[in-house]
Amino acid sequence: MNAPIISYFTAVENWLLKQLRNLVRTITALQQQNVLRECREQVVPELNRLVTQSESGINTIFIYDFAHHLILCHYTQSHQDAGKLLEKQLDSATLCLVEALTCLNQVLNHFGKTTRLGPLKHTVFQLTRGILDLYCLDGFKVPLVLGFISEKAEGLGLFISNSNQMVNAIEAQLKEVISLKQRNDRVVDNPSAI
Amino acid sequence: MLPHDKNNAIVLYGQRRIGKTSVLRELEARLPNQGDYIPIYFNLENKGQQSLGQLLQELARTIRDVLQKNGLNNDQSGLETSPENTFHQSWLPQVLDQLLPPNKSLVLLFDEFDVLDAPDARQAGAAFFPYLRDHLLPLNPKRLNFVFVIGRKMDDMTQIALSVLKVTNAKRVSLLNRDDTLKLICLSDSKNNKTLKWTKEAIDKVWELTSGHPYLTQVLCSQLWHKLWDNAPTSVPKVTGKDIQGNIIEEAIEASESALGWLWKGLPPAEQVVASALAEAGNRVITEKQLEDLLTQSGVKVVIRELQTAPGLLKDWDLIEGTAKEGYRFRVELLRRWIAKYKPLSEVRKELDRLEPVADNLYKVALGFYQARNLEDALTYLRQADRLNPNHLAANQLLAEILLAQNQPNEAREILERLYTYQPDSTTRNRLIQALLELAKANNGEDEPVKFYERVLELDINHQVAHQRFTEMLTTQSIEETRNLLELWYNKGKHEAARSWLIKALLKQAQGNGDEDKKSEIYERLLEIDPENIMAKQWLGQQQGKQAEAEGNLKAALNAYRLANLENKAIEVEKKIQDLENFLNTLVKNSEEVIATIFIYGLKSNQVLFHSQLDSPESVAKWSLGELKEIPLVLNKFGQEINRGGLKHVIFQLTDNILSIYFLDDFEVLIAVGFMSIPGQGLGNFGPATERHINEIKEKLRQIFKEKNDSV
Repeated sequence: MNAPIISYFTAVENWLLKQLRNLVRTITALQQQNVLRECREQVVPELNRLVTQSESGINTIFIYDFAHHLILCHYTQSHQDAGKLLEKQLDSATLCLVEALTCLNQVLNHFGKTTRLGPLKHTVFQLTRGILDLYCLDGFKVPLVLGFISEKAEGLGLFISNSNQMVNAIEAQLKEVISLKQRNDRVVDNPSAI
Repeated sequence: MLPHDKNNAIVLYGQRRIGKTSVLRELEARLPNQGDYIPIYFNLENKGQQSLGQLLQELARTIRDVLQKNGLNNDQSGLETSPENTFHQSWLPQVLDQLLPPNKSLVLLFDEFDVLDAPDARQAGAAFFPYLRDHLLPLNPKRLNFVFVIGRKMDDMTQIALSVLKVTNAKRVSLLNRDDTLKLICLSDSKNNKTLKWTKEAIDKVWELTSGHPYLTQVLCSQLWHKLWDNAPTSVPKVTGKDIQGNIIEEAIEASESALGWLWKGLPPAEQVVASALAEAGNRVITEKQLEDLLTQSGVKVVIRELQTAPGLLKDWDLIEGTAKEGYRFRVELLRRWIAKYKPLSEVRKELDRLEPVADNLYKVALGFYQARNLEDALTYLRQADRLNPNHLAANQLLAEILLAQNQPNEAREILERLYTYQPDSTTRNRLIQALLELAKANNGEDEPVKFYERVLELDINHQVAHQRFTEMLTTQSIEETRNLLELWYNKGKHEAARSWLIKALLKQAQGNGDEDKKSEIYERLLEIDPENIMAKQWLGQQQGKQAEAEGNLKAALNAYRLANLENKAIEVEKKIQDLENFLNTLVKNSEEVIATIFIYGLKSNQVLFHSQLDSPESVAKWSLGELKEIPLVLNKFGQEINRGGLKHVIFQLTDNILSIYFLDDFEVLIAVGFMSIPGQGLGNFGPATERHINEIKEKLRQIFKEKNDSV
């Protein structure tokens, strides 16, 4: 076989390998995302319980997949009209959120490097008519952001204190649901494991 | 050779100062121990003017002295009359047959043999060479041997000298090999003479510089020895690589001057020119083409045959190595450095006049005609000389002179421009200026004369006529046209005269321009060509200061004003900075251990513009918040989308501190106010404290930053 033909086959082989690698990467990401989406059924009632159990001032809690720019699940108090409206608006505001979070990431990278004041715990955005409080959850394979939106602009201290208390509970619930789901999947895939 | 029955002579040849005499002296010392030989050293230096008889009498005296030292007393006389006959017919045969023991033979060592072949010694040579050939060499080949030393190639000897030498063996005395050089270097580090310790690095360095040239190795080592023993050391000094650099090399070069000067004088003119060009090019390989370029650059109009063959001769003499194809380089670096220092091409190139004797004679005839005011005939001979040797410097100078006198400035200019590149003396320059002014006068076109005046100013920046012409141009033409013309001139060769006139034009253009942007562009150009121009610096400094002030970057403004020596503006800005920082300090102080630092951040310039000094970390002035300016834009959008309104401020909860940032949209400049908490402070105290101060700070900033039109 002459050299140009060998070279041609090598090129085709490289191209195929590259495509295959990309495909595997996409499938893995989708699988992780799907697990989290499928957990939605179990997570949303928990978010519901947390929001409604106290006079927390929290109107909306959402979980955002920072790697794929998707709101995985959110809960908004249904007994308030404004809340229903917010639920719809949150979906359409996803693009803005992507920009905000990307931007925030850059700012903090710079700031962390220059000040050396230690890692960020959370960021609070005081808006004219509300408060947005964002936590980065780094205990998962997919980088997740947990967001709290207040009902009104006032009561910053109470709102932050309440959202702060809820972060650990939500993080623990998420981990539990994900591990349960993964266990169930393994049993379905391999019945002899029972 | 010595035991040979018939072949009783040898020629040793090599460049001057290569060690030929040392070889003879070594033979003189060693031969008696190696066989039944009695060596007789006879130096022919300064004997070129003697007659054959005188020469033979002196030779006989030398032989007699040596024999006496060997205990063989020779009382015979008879050389007083007609030594040309008696020396070979009776005196020498008697010495060989009666005085010398039967087993002994004489070895005559003739040093500087070629002096008899020098042009001023031709008469002595003409008699001595045939005498040697016909009477001495065949006299007694078994018991009378000869060693001749010559300081040039055998081919260069005259026919009559060759007729003697062709019957003999010839051996070249060349550079020492590395082992022998090492032995020579380490003479001071031997059993009998332990006065220096040589490191390998130092030995390598000497080898690198001398490549085994015995004389130069000796001079360099001697200089080193003196240097190291100058301060009366208590132990034997060690020679390291560091000792062999800078001054010591220069001193060795200086110490070799007379000896190398003698070597230099032995080179023909073309070889001197080529050696000088190669030496100036540095310690690298030069191809034939590069050599030709070097010669052309130094004023050689045509690389004639003598110059083309010179590298071959220099190679024969061991001065250079390599081939025409691969390129040539100097064999001995120290020699190269000596030539580069003492025989620069600018001086040596005068030797080109001697290259072609016929051309030189034609020039001399032309000079005679010129002095007799017969320009026509002078020109004829000069053109002939130029055809034979286009590199004849004096002929070219005289040719230009006559052409100018005959009103032919064009050709005169061509010659003078070429001469001026390698001989920029005042005579050539004045002649060239004369030719250029003639040409400017003869060319009345719009742009043509300007080019000649430009060149005149390049040669003489204060030349009155050209100066006057350019001043007229500045006043009569539009300043834009003048500038364009001057830019073209300046860009051609960045010449000082062009630069000086362009500066004048730019200043005039800037002063007459009302448009600030255009003015800045002109001053920027001015600063490019005249980095110390005060007018340009002040204008641009003022503009930069104004711009920085508009962006709220007062520290940058202060810097710009100071650099431009605008002291009043600088004091004004400095006061503003101090006032604001004092104000921020007061707020921090009054916050009662809640706020550690307050800073004003420029979102456009991405840097801290001002900050409180009390308790602030030292790094605060360098804090960078990256793309912070995007935050209000996207959060405003997000807040609107979720019906929560625009962004008021952001709080970053860090491990120990809280950082709160307020984005101010009241001013034309995008700025933010940052508050950093004291470590461990909670949001409960910190939040209200920042809320309290933000309005006071805004008020204060109104004194510095311009408010947006709609806010006013």
